[in-house]
Amino acid sequence: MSQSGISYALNRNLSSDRLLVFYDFSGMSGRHIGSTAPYGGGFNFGVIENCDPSINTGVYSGIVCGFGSSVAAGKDFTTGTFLKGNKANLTGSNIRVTGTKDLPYSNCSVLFDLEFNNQVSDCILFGSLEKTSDTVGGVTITGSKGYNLGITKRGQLFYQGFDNKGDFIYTANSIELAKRNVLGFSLSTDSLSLLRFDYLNHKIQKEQFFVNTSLVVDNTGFYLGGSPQYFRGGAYGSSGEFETSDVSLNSFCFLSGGLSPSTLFSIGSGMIGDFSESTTTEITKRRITGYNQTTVYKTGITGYDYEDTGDLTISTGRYMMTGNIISNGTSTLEEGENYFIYYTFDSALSDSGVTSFNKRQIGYLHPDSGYQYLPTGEKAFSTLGLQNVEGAVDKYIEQQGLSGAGTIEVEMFGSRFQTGYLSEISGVKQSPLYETLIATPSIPASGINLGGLAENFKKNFVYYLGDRP
Amino acid sequence: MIYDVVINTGGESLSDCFSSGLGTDNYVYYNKKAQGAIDDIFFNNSVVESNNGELTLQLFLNSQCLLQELPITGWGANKVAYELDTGDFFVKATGEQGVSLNITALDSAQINFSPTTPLAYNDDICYNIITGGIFAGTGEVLKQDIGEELTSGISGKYPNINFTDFDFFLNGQKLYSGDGVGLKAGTDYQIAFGTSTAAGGIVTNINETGFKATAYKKNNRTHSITGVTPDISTETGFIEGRNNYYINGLQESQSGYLELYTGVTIFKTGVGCLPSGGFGNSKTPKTKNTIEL
Repeated sequence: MSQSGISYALNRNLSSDRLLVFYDFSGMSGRHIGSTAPYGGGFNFGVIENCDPSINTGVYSGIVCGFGSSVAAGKDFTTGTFLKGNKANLTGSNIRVTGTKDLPYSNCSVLFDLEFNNQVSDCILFGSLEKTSDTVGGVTITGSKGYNLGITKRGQLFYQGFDNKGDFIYTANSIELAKRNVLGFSLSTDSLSLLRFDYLNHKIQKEQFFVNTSLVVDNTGFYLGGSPQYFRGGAYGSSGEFETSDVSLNSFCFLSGGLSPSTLFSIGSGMIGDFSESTTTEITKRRITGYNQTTVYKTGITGYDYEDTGDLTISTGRYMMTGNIISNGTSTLEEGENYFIYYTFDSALSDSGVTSFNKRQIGYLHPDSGYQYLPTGEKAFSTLGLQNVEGAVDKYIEQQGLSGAGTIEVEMFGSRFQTGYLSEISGVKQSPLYETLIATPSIPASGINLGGLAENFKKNFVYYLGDRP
Repeated sequence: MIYDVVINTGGESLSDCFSSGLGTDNYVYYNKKAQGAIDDIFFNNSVVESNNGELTLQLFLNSQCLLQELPITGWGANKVAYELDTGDFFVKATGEQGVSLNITALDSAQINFSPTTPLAYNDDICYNIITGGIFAGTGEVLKQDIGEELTSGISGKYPNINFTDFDFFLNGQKLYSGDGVGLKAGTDYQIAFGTSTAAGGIVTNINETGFKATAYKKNNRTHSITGVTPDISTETGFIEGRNNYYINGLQESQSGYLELYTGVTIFKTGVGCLPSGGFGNSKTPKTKNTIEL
């Protein structure tokens, strides 16, 4: 709600007594808005009350002067036609504010939050210009009160005034409007600023002009949406003023004194934004409160430890041949044939793990031959006198190999130094001690949240200025 | 003629239009004017991170988009040499290397042009700040097709990205999707202004060395509107000042177009800015584009 937003913006930027008039049309649709009969004849008109946070809500009420009724029916008009969609549709009626003689017309700032109902059209937003004419000594002297602020068909802000040089209009040619705009002007000490606030780019669009404020005379009233004096012809409103505007107002404010554009930018954000409250995050920090001192001793070798580092195997002798015989049946031999007789070593040697055998080759003699051998011929073999008989002898299979030499294992030990603290002091170690402090406490925070829709604040048309095909 | 506007639609709410989280707080990034003349031209490096303007400038010299490059740096006794390969300009870094090179704040804000870049005292130089990277293809590296080289550069950083996420330039002139430029075969992410038959563009194997293709990733929440009429209307709306306008691929100065709301009904050339029947003819029409009240 812009009422809370502008209240926040005012409190932050200005003293609270600077806001003289504030109309906020949001939330007014369907409400009774009061009525008055200012023009006599028993007609009733809807009234928009000057509302908080303006300094005095009892004055500067706005009269919806486009429709009067003999019954208190102003409400019907205002809630059905004039107040629609939380906006005041100035197409149906101007708003007339009277009793403004005390308003500082030459030293003030004005803000509008408005949007076009259709396309851009020329209009008066703040109309108070009124020509006066007096005849003195047969000479007609023209003067004026107030001034107008409006929008040209080109869609640019203009200021219309009258001074000792006559009529003049200033147009802010560099400022282009969107469908919805926060616009304003600031008039003070011979300086006029026409302003548009671009809240999408956080940018202030401004044009500044010279206006002789000593020649700006206060008027007794002003219109929103029309003016008693307008350079362009048009239909007269119910109060004799020109009705011009096809715009709707979201809110309007009139502040005393010329204000800087940045201040008005902030106040304008309050008109379109919502006041928000939250709590900030607490931020802590650590602070050193002292030191914890620890004596540090030198370290060094305090002794040695011997540990098993492995085994060493030592051979104690040479390798030896070893072997064995295995019985393999018998074989039949004739006398005189050679064969082997085997002998094994004694058991003492075999117990050492080394076995072996030896053999002797001999000629077979049959045990039944009587061991008498007479020559039977003259040939060499016949002279031996061997008999033609057979006998069986044992056969063996020989096995041979190498026997491993004897070894012994020796266990090995190595030394390792052991470290530890010595009695000699090497220094003192300081460890800081901390305490956690709240650097920034969690506090209620407030601000303005611009969460409203941006669609109407955007432009939608690119116009090329160069030559066309 | 082809008219093209890259508009920035911003966010849905007011705060969304200048949100760091949504990447829309970039209203200071567009249509910036370079300052200085000839050899002393500067950009505002206060708007870039760490004041480091390396690979952050989309710079237009008299409407033509120039290519920024990271220079090759050579160190000598009391001397640092910079060399450009294919780029048109560079800016000096402000990082640790910059410190060691004794780069001043002014140095890091200076735009250093290649000796082959033609400059005159009255040149119009403007720039956008971009954050998505700068990609270039010349067809010379790895002897690739110019389009393939540009594509490989882009896909190296953005493996899954659409053709329409980039603004493409050929010799500094903006390209539009269409015959010879677009998606190769309509499906594959292949920039098709290469020399291949499928590309069908103006670049051929014979003239390839005369071209330099560049690509810039579009900023968040921007899209292009291209047509043959100079005035462009959009239902989505856009944020004033964050748009880039191109005519036949050449960027138009901001003073060459207006960003308006629909309904500015009178707009005439050569008509004085005077109230109807009011104040005589003492005032001279201000510009050729002033209007009748």
